[in-house]
Amino acid sequence: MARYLLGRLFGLLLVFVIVSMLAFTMMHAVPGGPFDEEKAPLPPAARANLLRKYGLDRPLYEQYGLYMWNVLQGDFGISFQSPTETVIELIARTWPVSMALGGITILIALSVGTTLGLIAAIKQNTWIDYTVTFIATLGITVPNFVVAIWLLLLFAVRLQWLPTGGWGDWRTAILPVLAFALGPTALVARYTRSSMVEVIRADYIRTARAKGLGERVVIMRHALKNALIPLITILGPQIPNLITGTIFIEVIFRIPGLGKFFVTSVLLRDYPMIMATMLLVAMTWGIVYLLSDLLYTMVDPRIRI
Amino acid sequence: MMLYSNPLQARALAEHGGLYNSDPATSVSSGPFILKEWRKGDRLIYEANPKYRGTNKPYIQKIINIGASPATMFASYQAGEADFVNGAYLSPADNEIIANDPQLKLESHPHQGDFRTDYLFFDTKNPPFDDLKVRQAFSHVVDRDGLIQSIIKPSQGIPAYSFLMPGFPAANSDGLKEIQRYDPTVAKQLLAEAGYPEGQGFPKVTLWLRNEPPVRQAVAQAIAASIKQNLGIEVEVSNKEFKTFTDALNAKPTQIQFGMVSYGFDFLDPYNMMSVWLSGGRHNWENAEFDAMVKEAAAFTGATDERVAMFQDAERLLVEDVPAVFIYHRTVSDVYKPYLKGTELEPDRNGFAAIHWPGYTNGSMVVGSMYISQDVANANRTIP
Amino acid sequence: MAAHVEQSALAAQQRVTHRRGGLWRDAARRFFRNRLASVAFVVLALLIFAAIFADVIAPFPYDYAVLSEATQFPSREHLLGTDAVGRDLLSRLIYGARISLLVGFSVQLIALVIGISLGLLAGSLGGWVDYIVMRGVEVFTAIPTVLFALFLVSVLRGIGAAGGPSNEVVTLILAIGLVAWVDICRLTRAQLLSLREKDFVLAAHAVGASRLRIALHHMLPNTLTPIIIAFTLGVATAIFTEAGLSFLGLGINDPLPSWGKMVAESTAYLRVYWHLGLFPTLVLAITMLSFSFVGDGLRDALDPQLNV
Repeated sequence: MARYLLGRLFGLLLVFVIVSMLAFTMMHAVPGGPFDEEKAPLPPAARANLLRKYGLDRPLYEQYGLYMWNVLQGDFGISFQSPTETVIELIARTWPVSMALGGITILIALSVGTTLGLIAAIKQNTWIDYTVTFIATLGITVPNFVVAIWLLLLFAVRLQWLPTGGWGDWRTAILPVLAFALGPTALVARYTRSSMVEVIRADYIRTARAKGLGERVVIMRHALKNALIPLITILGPQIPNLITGTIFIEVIFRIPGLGKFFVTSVLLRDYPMIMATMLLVAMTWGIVYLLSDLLYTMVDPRIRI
Repeated sequence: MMLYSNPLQARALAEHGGLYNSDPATSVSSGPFILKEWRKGDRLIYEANPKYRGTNKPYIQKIINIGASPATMFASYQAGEADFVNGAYLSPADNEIIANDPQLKLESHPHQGDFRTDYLFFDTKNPPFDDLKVRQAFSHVVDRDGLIQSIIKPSQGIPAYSFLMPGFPAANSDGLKEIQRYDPTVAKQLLAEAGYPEGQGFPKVTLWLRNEPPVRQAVAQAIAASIKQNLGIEVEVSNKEFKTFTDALNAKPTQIQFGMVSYGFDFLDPYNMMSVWLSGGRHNWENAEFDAMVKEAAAFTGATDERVAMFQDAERLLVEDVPAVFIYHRTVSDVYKPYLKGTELEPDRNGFAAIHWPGYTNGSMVVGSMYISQDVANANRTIP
Repeated sequence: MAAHVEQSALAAQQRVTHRRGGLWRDAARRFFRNRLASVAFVVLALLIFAAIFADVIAPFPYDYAVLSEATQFPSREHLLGTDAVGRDLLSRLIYGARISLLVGFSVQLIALVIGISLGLLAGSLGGWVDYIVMRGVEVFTAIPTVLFALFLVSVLRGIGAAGGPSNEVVTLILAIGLVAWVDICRLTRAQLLSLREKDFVLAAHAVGASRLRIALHHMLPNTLTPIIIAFTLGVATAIFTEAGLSFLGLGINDPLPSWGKMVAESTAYLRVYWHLGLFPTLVLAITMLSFSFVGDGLRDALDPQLNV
């Protein structure tokens, strides 16, 4: 086990290096730079000064080497779009917000989603099942920015029960969590249903029933556990997705989270922030994948990794 | 020019570096307001500056500037969480709601904004747009009145047939109105004369936009449809992300064959707007005569009338040579809650009843004599 | 899809020995006995039909605009109303099926091919193959789609490959598809891992079948369920990713319509012109619902365990 974990940690490092190289190459290959602004182009001298200040006038491999050297010393640079703080400070300020929002969303998706999926599977091919599938499909097809706007118009403008946005007390969290959770909840419901349907038919479930075990015990103890594999696989990637935030929900509800930086960094050619966000994603996913692989072995001891 | 170059305080600069104004602790203000708090990603809070010694001491004691998405600003306004929304950020639906609501209509305050003109531009040095007749044909198929009525909405713009907006020095809107008028019949004829009858043989072109909001995407789409239906030319509309567009536009020579963009003034002189079209500027159009006229007019120190006339001649040349097809001048209708009062919100001699240039620029905190009246008690206002 | 149906059928054939030739007919019979799946199948067929014959079916060309008729509510002339530019919404929805279904399917097809092959390799061979594939998955999940699309566009332009509109569609499909396979890869691998120690796989081992052969013929059919769902959901995701990229000028240009773009564009008009958002969302939801039901029905029809 120790050897396995060590191997995985090494893999994480490897991924880090590859991702950083890819990100570096791609962002410099893309047209436009951080200092291309609306008004007529900067005077060449001013532009050259700026480029020199940020070290962007050097050869690419040198810039990369310098970046990695600084990263090793814990210096991720200063974001071009928020020059009053370091990248680390920016992430430390925004990520907890996204994590809180994503955390609540995951809890809802897990509890509500599995419940709905279970009910649908048990009542397979009845109107309950179809309704759940219908709602789940709707939850996946209606994008969260549309849901968010409707929720906002209904509860904040028409009824004025809740604020239109912001981040602070619990009232500000209700609408974004609702809009954010709909998709993942639907996803979990869908996968739970289908893998449960499959498991319910399996021989050992029939055996369990035949032994005279109560339906509840059969479902909870035998069936659900085996239906968990695809769920872990699917929910696994949802976790880093959800805890790193989303631009749509954050922008619509004025939440000072990290999510929007994944898009704005690319659009603004904010090189230090592009690097940081990509490395952050690689790290989160690496950890989540590792955890979900470990979870497989716990759910089904026969799985060897 | 000084409007855009804010002086820094030498001592603060030396002690705290160039960004000292971003931190309330080190911020220095000689204006009526001073930065009190900055919640990053959320809001700026300004308070009246107790040490302010200038004129127009502010009545309003605190300004909260909330960063919000354009999509939801009007919603916050309606929910009573915002007292003022900049009209530039209102969506087509928002404007429709305002136009159909007598009360909201009263709260809407139109002004000239920054004399901004939206226009189509061409790469005039390469085919097919190196042919004046082709450019002229394009200029006659833009139905400005229809665009204003159906898409832009009358409160948000007026038709443009030339570059300088009415009210801007040397503007000659009426005099230049006929040159690029909407006339599909003439357009077809011109295109045929250029060698592309019914658009035959004309390559498919792509109209580039610079990260425009929905309303101007619709404007461009409508123009593209009009070109297709009247001239038989296929036009795709591509709303490019900002950096890609800027990079291509600023490249020498420009990489944009056909685009739509806008320009607003920096300082109140015809030279400011006209200089955009000087050779070697941001557009691939060169006209020595125009260059000479503009430069001469700019340096001219004689009678104002004469100088204006010189610029007007230059603008006529610009409109006639069609490096650009002018579409509309933006007017901006800001919304103010009715409990906001003050001389700024009463009509000035141009009929504008809004805080606007001069005196108020984007991000400036000058609210002059504006105050919050007692009506606010019944206004169902919630400060977020 | 066809390949997997075939493989699954193959496996079923091996396991359900008491039936021979009528397997396909049986599956079809079982499928159409499921009323909901049948209806969904017909709906999907109609949609694809509409997409192909849009020129004949649509009442107006998708790019025909009448400015004075902009943002009209549904009427007899325009059954679903008109858009912000005065184009017939119904016609644009019908034409929009082309791009949306094309992008949705192609992206997921790329994802399926890459995802299943790599997932199979990783899950069945294990060891260092698994290790490498999974690190690849991690690398690809970290790449933001927008950056990748921007990069791909500039690279393709550099090669001189991009030019006409059809190439933009190809670029778009590649940009989305080349990063979309990770989910399916992980799903396939995870299912294989859990199947590796099951009785029938052990039995196949015992008779000396090769590891890849076992994975292909015995294990893959059993991973079908989650893959079908991932495919369905992936289609929806791809359709919206297309809209997102098109908004940045990296995808399909107007006047060519797509459902995702229509939904996304509608948000600025939603408060007054509800029809602009409602109808595209509805069509999208109906399509996805049909996909789900057909998928469920297919799974049931091909599942040998049901055949008792």
